[in-house]
Amino acid sequence: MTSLRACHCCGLIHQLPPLSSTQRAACTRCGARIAMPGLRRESASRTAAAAMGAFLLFWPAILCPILEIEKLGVRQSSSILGGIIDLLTHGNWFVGGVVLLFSIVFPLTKIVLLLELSLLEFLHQRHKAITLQVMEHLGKWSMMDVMLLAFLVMLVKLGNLVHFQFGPAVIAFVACVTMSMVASLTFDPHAIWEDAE
Amino acid sequence: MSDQLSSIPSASTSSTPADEAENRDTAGQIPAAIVSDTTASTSALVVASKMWWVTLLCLALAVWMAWTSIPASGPTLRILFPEGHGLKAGDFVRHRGIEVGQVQDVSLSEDLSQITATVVLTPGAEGLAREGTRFWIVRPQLSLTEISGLDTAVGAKYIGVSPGDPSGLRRVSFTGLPFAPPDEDTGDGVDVVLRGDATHGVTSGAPVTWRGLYVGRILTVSLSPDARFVDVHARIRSEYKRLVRSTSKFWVTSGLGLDVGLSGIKLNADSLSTIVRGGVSFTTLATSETPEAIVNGHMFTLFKEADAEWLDNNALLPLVDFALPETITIQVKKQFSTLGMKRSRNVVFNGLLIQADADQVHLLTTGELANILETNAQLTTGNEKKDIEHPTESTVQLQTEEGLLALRLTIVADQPGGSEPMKQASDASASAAAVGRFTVAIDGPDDPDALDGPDTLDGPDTLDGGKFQEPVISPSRLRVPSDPEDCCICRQVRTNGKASSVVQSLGREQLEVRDGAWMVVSDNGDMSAWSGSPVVALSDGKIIGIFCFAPTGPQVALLK
Repeated sequence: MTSLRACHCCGLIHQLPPLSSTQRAACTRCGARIAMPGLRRESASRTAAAAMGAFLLFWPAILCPILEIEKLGVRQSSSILGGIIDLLTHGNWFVGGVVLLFSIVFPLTKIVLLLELSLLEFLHQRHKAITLQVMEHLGKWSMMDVMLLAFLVMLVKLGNLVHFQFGPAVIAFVACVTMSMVASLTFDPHAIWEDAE
Repeated sequence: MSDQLSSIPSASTSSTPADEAENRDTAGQIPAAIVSDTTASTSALVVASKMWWVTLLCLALAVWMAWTSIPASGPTLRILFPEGHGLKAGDFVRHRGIEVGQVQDVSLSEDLSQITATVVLTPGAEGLAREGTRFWIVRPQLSLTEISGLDTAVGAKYIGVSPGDPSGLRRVSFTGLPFAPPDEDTGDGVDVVLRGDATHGVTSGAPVTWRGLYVGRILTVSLSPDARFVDVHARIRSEYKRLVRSTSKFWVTSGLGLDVGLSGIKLNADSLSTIVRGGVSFTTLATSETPEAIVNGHMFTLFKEADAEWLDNNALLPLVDFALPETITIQVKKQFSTLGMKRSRNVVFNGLLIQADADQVHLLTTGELANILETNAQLTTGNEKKDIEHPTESTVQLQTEEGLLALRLTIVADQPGGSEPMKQASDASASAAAVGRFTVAIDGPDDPDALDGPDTLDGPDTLDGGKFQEPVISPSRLRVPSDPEDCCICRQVRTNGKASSVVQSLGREQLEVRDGAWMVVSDNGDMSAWSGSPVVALSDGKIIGIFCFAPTGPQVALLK
């Protein structure tokens, strides 16, 4: 039985004849793999691995001190979470809330949902659909990478005014951003529907 | 879905680009995917597991960071202070300029009369958590005589600490001092009590001077137990504690002395510091026998003013307990060639004459002299280094009271297995760091021909000729040192035919063992005048090495 399948890379729709276990199908336009034995499993596994890595690194990234600022002999070191708590306790509800939402809540939710989608195959289709939708929407607002950029800008602009250096969390932060980007890139939304079809 | 499927042509197996282009151009036609045989059916699993390795790496990184971010901490102390002075959590505890702890929390005590600082010490500083350790909050202090703690005027406050007895009991709760203790920077020394009938303006922290030189500090001023006298507790710094003897007299140098008389007005003042804070001066009187040394806590009378006799009748109090070895000064022409021109320059070394045998005197000086003599011989003969033997005999000049004497030196060869303590190899090719050792022959008053005709000179027996007036040291005065110890370098300076000793002390902390010699860490600037001077151990007065200059800096070449 021939089925239809869109290339996940360029979107061209193909006819896909039934494949034997040693065959694979490629897109006629861009050459990306459309179907092959284990492709779904591979994609899901890779996504799960990357998402798990990001999840593990997320905690040291927000809990360890990320910045050590020394001004006039007073040294301060703060973590991302500590900084947000400081903002909130000082009454900066708006700024604190925005940073909390976009730097912690959304990225974490996205990572967790990615993990859920790629690891748990037995979920109901409807559940998967909702999860995917939520993730797609949240993903756009997950701005860890933007935060990294903000730190870099600060390093460049303030370098001469105050003495400050990055704490250990910056390594975890960069690695976490990288892993979550890898997870998003390797995630193939088609794969989760494959079983159902 | 089924409608669409029925209208789509069956999958084409052709895969030429032309066909595909045709397929796409045709409206409603859907291209077939390229189907090919896969070679590695297990590749999917392999790729997936590779990514899991990265996850494992992430896990390791996360665990490591969690591990390192848990701060290693020493004991937690609670210190009560009468006043906070703006101390806040995150400020540091500093000892000798480095951070040894951090303030975790500052809170008011329950009765609101004190503050409690909770301090976490760093792991290396557990020794501070002992009985007798004193803490105080460092803050800027400005007075006429002293400015301190200025770094805390704009920056953060910090807690200063003065460690107590290292064998004291462990403690975690302390009471902080309202001020920095006056003896904070005096270190070891000898404590004396001065009992006077009034303070005469002496305050805590005031200087104790010896002929105007700052030798100690007033710690506290208090009433005597019966309230009839004032007890002034002073600490004399350890390097000057020999000056305090049982016959010492202490008097107050505070304030201005104004003497108005027929001859005019006479103003007496010691220093600006003593005008404001007061001060105590002392001297030690000579008696028939050597005045005894005192023990800690000895009591003296504090006089209101000095007796004129005291300063005239001063005891001879050497800062060292032994007679310093007398050195000689030798002068050598250092030849060198610049751009093919031969030049020479006079170089002066100190040296030490040692009675090696019954009829032989050795000169102990810096190995640099041997290098110079060898270079001179090379330049004179024009030979390459490899062709020349070590110069067996060289002549240098000895500066004495009568003038210059020619001193004929022969390098002493290495004596393997020799039993005397100073069998120092003085190979002429040895580095400047080595001790140079020569046998000596005196050749009478300086003779310009002496440099050219050493063969006309007599052997070592000229020592018996009575010309040799220079001090010769017995070999028993030498000792082979093991570890760095407190020592001093000494040399003699001759002015107007009179020789007097000059001493510079080298503390143990200034010496650093490197390659069998002790490097001297000193801020005394140019010490080139000391080259070749003997280094004398302060403990027993024995000579343990020679001060010399290596390419890496000043150092003590040790006797071996």
